Amino acid sequence: MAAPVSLVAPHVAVRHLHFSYTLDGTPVFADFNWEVQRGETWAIVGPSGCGKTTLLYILAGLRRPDSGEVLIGGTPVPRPRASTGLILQDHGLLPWATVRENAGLGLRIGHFYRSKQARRGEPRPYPPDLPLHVADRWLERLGLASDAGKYPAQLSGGQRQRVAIARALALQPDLLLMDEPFNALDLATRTDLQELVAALQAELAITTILVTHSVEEAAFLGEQILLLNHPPNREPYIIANPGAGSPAHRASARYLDVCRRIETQLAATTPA
Amino acid sequence: MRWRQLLFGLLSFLLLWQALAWILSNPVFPPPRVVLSTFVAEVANGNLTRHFLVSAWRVVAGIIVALLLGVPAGLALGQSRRLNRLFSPLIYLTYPIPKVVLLPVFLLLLGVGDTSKIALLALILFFQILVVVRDEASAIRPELLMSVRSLGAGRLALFRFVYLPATIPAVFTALRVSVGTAVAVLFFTESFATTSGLGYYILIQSWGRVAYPQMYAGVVALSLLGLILYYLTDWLEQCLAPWRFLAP
Repeated sequence: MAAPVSLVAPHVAVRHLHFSYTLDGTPVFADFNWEVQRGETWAIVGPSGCGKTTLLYILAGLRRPDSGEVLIGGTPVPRPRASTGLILQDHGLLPWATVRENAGLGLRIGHFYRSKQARRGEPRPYPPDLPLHVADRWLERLGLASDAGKYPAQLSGGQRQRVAIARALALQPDLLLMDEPFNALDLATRTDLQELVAALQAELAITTILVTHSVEEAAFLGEQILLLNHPPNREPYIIANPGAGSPAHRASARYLDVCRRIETQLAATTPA
Repeated sequence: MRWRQLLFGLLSFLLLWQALAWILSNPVFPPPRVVLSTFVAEVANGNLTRHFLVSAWRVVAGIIVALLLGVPAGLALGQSRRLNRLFSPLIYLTYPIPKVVLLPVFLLLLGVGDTSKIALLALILFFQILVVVRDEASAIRPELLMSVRSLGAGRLALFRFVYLPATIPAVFTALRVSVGTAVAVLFFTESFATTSGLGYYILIQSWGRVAYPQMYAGVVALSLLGLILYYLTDWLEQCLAPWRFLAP
């Protein structure tokens, strides 16, 4: 069992993070500190080039910090971990695989490595050993059961994003990272998927970090909102947004207030 | 619809042939009726069939060897920028060299049997397959790779689940382009220092003996070989890459 200290330790801890794309240019993050508690839903919002996607990729283990540390559940992430679900704007589905094969991809990768490991025994953080029907159950749950035999090209943008969500959830993640997941979708589909994410979050309590440039999306989904701005980012600017994700939140005074505060803050630091 | 088009194409071809035969009225250009009856007779007596099978074996073996070498090499270069940087100057220089001219060298090194012919075919197809597969593999969107990596895929799983299936259509594109080349090269390799194959049948057994209808029967057989390979490529692609043929 986990030590009692893990109950209070943050799920995601970013400590003294330094990151820059070039050796001599402005760093994107300079001595940046930030913490996310288990089960929280965060929205990261900011203008393009502020480093929000970079931060997400660092958390996903797809980029390495120059210095400082990023801990998830107390451990660094030198490579992607299968228990972190990543959902990109580009859904990242394999065009040559059916919806069912795509949703089960993480599980199949796990099976693939375990069958190799039997022969070679190299230790790796494999995706969990779960039967493929776990993915089928998520497809069903997300309303895709009848599309299981189709290919991504035959689906609408919203359906593709649902498959990507099913694929991530099939691995039973404890952390869900989303990078502008609903950007390319029309308004109705967008709202629909935002509500789906909120409902899943309420049900599964997976720590969720959503990067968006939409103020409304951040204010509806983020219980906490991290504002990033033009680099270098040194101090996290955080707006608490209790009640986010509940269906009534969009109509509440707090939602409007949070929207206004985000806009004011973004405008205040944007160079004219 | 496709069958009707095929039939229409065949009919127009035969009509054109017949018309040309009338206009030329020369034994060097016999009409289709004569050629086709010779073709049937030569197939029936087993002579043409034997040469056809020998040629088919050589070209199919060449394609398979080229695939077995070209696909892994293309995949390796396509996913590693470092490897590609190392090898691309060499490929760039050697790709345009007409490798058919190496036939004498191959005959000297590998003998006059099937090996030298298959090796030359494989060498020519290898480059075409390598280049197409490499370009396809290096064009895979980084977002797709990151998504799959985020599911726990390392290098090995990326190969198995992304690079390999992503390049299947490219392999077929390469094959379709190179089938014509392959048959042409085959004809050349069979034109001397051999006693079998359609090239031998056309040039030595028929042309050399002024048996024009027979010569054309050989041409028909060689064309059929190309056509069969072309259709086989199409059919295999539909089986192995069904997502490419989705209704929009």
